[in-house]
Amino acid sequence: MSAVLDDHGHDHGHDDHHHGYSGIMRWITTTNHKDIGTLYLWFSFTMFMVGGVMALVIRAELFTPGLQIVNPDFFNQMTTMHGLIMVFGAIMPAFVGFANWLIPMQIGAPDMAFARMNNWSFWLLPFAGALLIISFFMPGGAPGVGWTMYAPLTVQMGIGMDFTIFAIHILGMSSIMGSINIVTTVLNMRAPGMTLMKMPLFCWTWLITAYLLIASMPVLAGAVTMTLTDRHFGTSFFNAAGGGDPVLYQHIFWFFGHPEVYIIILPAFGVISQIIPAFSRKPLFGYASMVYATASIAILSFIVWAHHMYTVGMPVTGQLFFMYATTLIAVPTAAKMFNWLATMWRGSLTFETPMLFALGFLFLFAIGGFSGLVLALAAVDIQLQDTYYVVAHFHYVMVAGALFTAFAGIYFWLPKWTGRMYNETLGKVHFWLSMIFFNMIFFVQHFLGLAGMPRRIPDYPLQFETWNKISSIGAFGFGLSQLLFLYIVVKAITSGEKAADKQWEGADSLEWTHLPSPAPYHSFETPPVVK
Amino acid sequence: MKGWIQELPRQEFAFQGRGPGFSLLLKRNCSISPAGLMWAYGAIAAVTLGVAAAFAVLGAWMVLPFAGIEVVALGIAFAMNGRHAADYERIQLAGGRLLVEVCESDSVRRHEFNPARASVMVAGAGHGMRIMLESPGRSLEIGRHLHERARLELAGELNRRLRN
Amino acid sequence: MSMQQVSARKMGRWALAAGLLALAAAGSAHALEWNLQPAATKIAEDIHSLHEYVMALIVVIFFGVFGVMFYSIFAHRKSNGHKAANFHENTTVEIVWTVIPLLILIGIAWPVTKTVIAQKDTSNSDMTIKVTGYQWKWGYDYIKGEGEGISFVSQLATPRDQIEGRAAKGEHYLLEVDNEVVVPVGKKVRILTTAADVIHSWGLNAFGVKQDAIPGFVRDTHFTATKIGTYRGQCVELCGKEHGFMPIVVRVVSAEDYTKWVDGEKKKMAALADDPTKTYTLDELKARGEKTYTANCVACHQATGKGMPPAFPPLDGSKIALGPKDAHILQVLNGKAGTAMAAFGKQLNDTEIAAVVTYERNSWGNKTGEAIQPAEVKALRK
Repeated sequence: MSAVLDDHGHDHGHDDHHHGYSGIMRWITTTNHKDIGTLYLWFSFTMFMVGGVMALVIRAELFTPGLQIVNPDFFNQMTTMHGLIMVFGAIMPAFVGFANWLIPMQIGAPDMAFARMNNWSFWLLPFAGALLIISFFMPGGAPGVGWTMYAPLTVQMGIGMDFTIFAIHILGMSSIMGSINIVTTVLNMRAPGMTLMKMPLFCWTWLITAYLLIASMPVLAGAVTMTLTDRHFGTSFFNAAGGGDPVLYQHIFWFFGHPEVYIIILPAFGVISQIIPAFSRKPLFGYASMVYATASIAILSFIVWAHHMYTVGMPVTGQLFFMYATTLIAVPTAAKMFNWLATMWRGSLTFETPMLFALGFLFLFAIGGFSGLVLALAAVDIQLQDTYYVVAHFHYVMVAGALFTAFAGIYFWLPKWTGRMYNETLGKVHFWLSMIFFNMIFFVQHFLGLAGMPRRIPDYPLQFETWNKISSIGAFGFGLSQLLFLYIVVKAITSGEKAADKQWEGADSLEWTHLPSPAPYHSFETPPVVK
Repeated sequence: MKGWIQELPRQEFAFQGRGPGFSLLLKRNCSISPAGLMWAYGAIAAVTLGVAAAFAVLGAWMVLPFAGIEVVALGIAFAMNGRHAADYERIQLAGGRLLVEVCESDSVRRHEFNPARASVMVAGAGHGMRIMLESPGRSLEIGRHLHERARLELAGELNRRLRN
Repeated sequence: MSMQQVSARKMGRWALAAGLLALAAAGSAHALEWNLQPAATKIAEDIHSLHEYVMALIVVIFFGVFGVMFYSIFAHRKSNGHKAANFHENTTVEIVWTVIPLLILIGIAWPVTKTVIAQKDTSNSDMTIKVTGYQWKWGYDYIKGEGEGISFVSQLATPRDQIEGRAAKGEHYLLEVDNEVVVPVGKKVRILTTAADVIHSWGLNAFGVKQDAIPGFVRDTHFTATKIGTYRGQCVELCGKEHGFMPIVVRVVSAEDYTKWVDGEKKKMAALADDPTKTYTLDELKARGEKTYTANCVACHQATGKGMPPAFPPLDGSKIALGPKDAHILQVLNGKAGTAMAAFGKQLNDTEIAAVVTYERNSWGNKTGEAIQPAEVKALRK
């Protein structure tokens, strides 16, 4: 708004500089939602690289049978930390970054409701990340228990396990503060006329996600705290010898864990619901039904947790209940798919990089959804539980679902955020490389799983060799392709072409229609009126 | 940017009334009613505490304190945000009196000025700029729910009307 | 078609070529596995056909849905001059595409229900075997039916040399054990699972069976093998360092062969039964102890006795191995809480424990000269 203030003789550019701090202190003290969004996204990318290197260690060891590179203990630490870092350090912060950047602009608010708390919730993350990484250097190394941290294996771990537990507490605190902020912002700071049912779908998905986070995070905090007291303070929550039940841990963990899956994927649905209409030049089909579908997925996510536990020996009624409830989730999810297709139908489609990633998402997420349906069937899951089929399934959902969407979102909003365009050719190359190598890694893992290769093993029988080789080669290709992404983004920020205020012809949310590119540091200090 | 200026929320400058007097209501922008906020809070608190209580019954009582802390934190956040949801300033010129009614959380204060001797002054500049309604010996900040630029406009508009 | 699209396509083709090359380069002696292992029980067959049925539906739906999408991608593109329509809702369509998936799901869930019920029905079994998961081997106790009383521990038979690449890998690399489970064909075998330390999971793909083994709890599953043969699987629940090295091998034999195996096994057990009152010499104990050590301890504490500190402490020069012998025996009997050190009291008999403790106290740099007798172990058992 500097131009406006300028009319009244105030210092030009005042708004583009901040509170007297510069350099690193600017970033440490910032309470601006755009700065904090940027911080989240860079943190996420850093963690994505760290977790990615761990994945490459795993794939390198699995390139051929036998133990070559790491010992089994370290291999377990790699699988554990890869999972924790990717879920809590890379994917979740990425979408919180999107939320920070976009929600205020999309609802016409000047900032998040609690700007100071927003700063804290970001700055907790580097500490949690550091704790996770420091655990490798503790006696006994990082925990080798898998990201699910099942009891009672956790009791056998060294002090690295405690570091991980503290890290999870901090991450949880950060998520809760972020969620409180998002809920308050979306409920209370919408511009006049911006009714709930006029909000961009991205804001809706985040509102629902924040609710899921608030409902499920205390469960995780409780689970890891009980693990901690079982380890050090003689309690027996999960210790059969002391009257506890190891399976109770699994119930608690997955009661958090399944909503967590939707915490990751719902904001991704929101991003896709912004991008597909923009490049179809056509409004989103079935907006209201999309909102209802999102809400139903969220509600169902609380009654399906035990489909992760078909092999623990539940009674037959339990198996059947969780099977039916789980298959039911396919209904709203399918409705979403159809809505996106109907949005494209008879549109005027173009295929810039964000749209390519969005289509890649539709295609691969469908595969992940279908393998999820197979796994939901308790009888069939008995064959596939804890095999590479599960690994393939959740990477189709997490990588092709969440990560591809994050890429799509970054290409989509980068012009708005930085005022500069990325290189479209390189963006497309990045898409095709990611697409091909991703399938090379994970499609073949379906076959490994069907044939019975267990997950989390550092060495494997000879009949699994070929698929593992292909998967490992794909992994290195995928990893290298992401360096191209880094190059594209840095190049765009430093020397990209100027972007238009409404870079995408079909984009229709407030940040495109009401704000210039790059979006000014303070936007919507007076709310716009939405008609 | 011109289009942007035209997007100022009309109701904030809805000078009402006929003849020489006017009435102006300045409100914070709040997109949810206090009752709506209570519903939103009640729903999430009930779910969170219900889940935690169920786990406590199963023996995993340590979920409960975390759920409790969180529900309290959310409550404080909503209260902080909601306490000022109904704040407003009403500036009225009627019967030769300038009345300013300031509602802040649960207190309403009325200030009376002599329109002939009152004027609006601008204090400070840029971010943190304020406008004050002044008459000899008295001063009251107004337009706190507005953006700087809207405050300047309000100052100009009020001065013009007071001078008439 | 712009330059950028051309070059993006080109990169794509390169990546595809790399993939095919990898496929060719990766060729191994084994045929590619594409599907579930050949079924050897009725339930596994049912799972096969359920899987095929669901996959068929999925493929049809997938091609249907993405057929529409690709049609749209080709027909409704701006570069073809297609103008966007402006429709954005239609309640009828929404209802249709909510109801149809629901009907399809009911069509899938119904046949699966029958198999789930069959999987869970462990009644009327002909024999019962209790499976106990240990870090990192399986204990088997035949507790009901023909062969009752047979009890053994089954662990990986693949030599370390193959795993560490010093020897060529055998045909059943990582899928071979010292003592195979033997069951008769056509008999319903109930499997009880439990564990001594952490959660393991016992399963065989060919049987359509997988059941977690949970410490402190007993869970059950069952199978009725329909084909004679040897079936191989692995532990499927992460259970610590050697999780990848605790295979499951079940040999299904004819009723007569099973009877023969039971007789042989009974005789072997009688011959092997150690007399816990016998007194052994130091050398006898050390020789026997080395075998026990190699079978049970070497994965963590290593053949050199150096361990893998800090998770797996060394024995060479350790306080336990050079300190009071009762403390040493008790540690082997009861394990150490909060660490990966398992309790061996139930897996090894008195003689074996006496031997392995003697071996540990008189190997590498440890030279206590003590010969621990089985009677001493027996006295320390609770």
